[in-house]
Amino acid sequence: MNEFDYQKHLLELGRVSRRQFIHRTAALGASAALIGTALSRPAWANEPVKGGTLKFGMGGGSTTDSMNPSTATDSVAISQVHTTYNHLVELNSNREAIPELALSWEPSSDAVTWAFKLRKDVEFHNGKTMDAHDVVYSIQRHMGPDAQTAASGVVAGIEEVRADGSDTVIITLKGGNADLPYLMADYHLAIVPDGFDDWANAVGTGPYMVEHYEAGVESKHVRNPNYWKEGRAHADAVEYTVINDATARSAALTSGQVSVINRISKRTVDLMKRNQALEILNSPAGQHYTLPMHTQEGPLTDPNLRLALKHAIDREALVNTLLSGYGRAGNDHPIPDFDQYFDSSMAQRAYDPDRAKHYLREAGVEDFTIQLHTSEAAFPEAVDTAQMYQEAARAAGINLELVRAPADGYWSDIWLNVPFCMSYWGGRATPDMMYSIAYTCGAAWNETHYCSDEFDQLVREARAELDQARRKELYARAQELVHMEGGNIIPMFADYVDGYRRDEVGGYEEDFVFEMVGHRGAERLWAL
Amino acid sequence: MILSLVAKRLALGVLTLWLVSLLIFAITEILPGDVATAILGQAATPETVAAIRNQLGLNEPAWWRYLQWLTGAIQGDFGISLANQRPVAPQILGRLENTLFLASVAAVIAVPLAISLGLIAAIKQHSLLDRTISLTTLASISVPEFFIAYLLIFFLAVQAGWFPSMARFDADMGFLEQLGVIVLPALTLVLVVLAHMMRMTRATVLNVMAQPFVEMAELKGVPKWRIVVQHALPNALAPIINVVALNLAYLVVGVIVVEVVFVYPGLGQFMVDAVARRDIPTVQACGLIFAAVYVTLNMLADIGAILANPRLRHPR
Repeated sequence: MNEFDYQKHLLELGRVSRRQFIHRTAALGASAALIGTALSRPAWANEPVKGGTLKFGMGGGSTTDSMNPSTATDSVAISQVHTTYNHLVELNSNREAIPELALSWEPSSDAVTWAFKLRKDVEFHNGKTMDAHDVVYSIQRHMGPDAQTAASGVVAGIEEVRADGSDTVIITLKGGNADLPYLMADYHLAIVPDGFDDWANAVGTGPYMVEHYEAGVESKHVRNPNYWKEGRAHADAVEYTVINDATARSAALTSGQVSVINRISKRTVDLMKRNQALEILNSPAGQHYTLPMHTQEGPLTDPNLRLALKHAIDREALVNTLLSGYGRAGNDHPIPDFDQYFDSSMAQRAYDPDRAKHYLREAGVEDFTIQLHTSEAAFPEAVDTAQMYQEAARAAGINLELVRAPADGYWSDIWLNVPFCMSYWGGRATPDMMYSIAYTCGAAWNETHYCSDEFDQLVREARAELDQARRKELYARAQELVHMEGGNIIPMFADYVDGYRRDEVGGYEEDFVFEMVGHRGAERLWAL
Repeated sequence: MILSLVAKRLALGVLTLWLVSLLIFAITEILPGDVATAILGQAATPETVAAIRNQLGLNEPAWWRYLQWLTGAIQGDFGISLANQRPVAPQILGRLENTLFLASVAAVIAVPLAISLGLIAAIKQHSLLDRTISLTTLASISVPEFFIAYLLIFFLAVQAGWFPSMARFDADMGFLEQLGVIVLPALTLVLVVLAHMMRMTRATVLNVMAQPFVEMAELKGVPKWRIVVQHALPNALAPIINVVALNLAYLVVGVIVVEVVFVYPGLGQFMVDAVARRDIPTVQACGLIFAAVYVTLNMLADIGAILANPRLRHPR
């Protein structure tokens, strides 16, 4: 089967979406006519319906959550942020930066100074009119050493934020960054009134106002009657119920107690698919699993050893068994295949025990033994991945000693601290966001301690480059460097899989930003 | 006699609670990480962690934080949750009500049912009925509780559609409606605790039945059911009460799995989340409540046993 037929087969199975199919086959050079024939399924007539209540059942909530966007790190909190607040910039489902509270933006020629022109006549839930001072406060609260926020990495490059009149915000950067609008779409940077910190009574400009909030249990929101965004927020009310158990979540959807759920277990997704009342939607959003190896110290400093380990993992088998096909083999760099800067000319690394043995010999080792720390905390399939990896690596003469660490405390004690472990990353909207958070020398979450002058130079140059073609070249080279000498094994990109009740909800489509229609289901979906 | 016992038990109970609080505090201190790293997870930078630690006063020495907490707790102030900055007490109160509601519904069904089944099994010893009761209750206790829960959800919620799979209720629902919502979790709990109490009843009653005075009653021509209910049961009550108390305590403190499966906002899930986030004031408060439940139920069991058995009232 050639690649086109393979993709068509995946499409028929529902493993890839129509849009993914177009992306992938167009990258193969297939003609528009050929793609069109393969996409024979009719498009639905999709007219929004007003009123009703949208009921979400979601995993990824905790009783310690709050409505403070600074500390939102998991699914429920992120969805609630987008339900209550707006941001300067929105990412649409194709992950393009489009205006939200900012009407437009203009960079200086070196991309260092940016002027964001704000929308006028937008009111907060408390009736206050939004202006530049609110925006300045909402960004500044994440800056500086005392900020209690998960977004310190996002705002690290900002030198100064100031208001220029009531409807312009000027952001000055420490160095040029052509991706600033994407950074401003980060969900932590929600716009709140100047000086606001009463998170128990959250006030934003978003589509719904909080009516009832019980952390880790449920929240109820009513429509903001003054919502400014046209063609959005169709339902009268939105309800979130936190259901952390995957089986309970599926049961709630199947028995009709909620209309939408996230994180369908990939082990049972094919059973759910048989249910005609449900639409199972997978969104490739760049989420990927990683096995970081320390490159600067410890047992894996020799690039040959890392290459041996990279060739000893069977990516296709992992995607087919553990993800039930809802994903894509990774190529040891974090750029997903639908990204505009993805370099498709680079060959996919395959499972090759002989190559692995070859690199072991290059490193001067015969039998190689190394500890791999694994935990459910890294990603749901982490322990199974480690076991399958252990089997596959044995054929290459590599003995993986698995150390199973408790999920509790994994991120503080194991990750970043041991030379070889497991981790995951949500997709980032641009290569720069991914690279500057986890790949450049000294980056806060550089889990492999990878440090290369050439790579850093490429990232710095590409960041400020406003010329697309040149930028693409730079990122292609960066991708190659990470692929060859970087410390990460990236075995797979995992899709987000959501479920929708066909008779109760409309407007769903796959999203290249996040699960649950980019966590913006509250304003993009409608109740039937 | 009983009053002095209650007083002694209460004093011991307070001591126990204090030791428990010390233990919980020590253990949460030993656990790796703290609330700052736990809140941010993978997204924690050293500066942010330091800022949060500073603001929450985590840089104070542990004994000082414990003392501060203790003085607050004695005055009825359980402090502010480290994770979401809201007072702990009102958050816990709602959860506690939910937990007690579910536990009492399960107990009201399970305790009389278990004791009557035990008596029936004892009266009809070795009969088919006895074996059926033993077998079904043993089977239900041998299966993990989440599996019973999934089975009930699959057959009664998804297939039949009689009951909701999520036990979510509002305060403005009527009492009967609330009962309808928690049928499945209550049923699961009943199935889980039934066997223990039922077998204890059966065993102790049969034990007493082997005594000479029962033989005497039999020879007198007293019907079997009257022997069991009037003569054997009162003498067998003490151990039964103890087992019942243990199971009641379990219904309050040990039902986290059932809470998770039925999305029931009880205290167990609350405490587990707090532990995962190193939210020490919340963990402390939950721990104290659980310990208090055990202390109280054990005390009641002892008092019950004394009332049931006059011999215990006059210790030699």
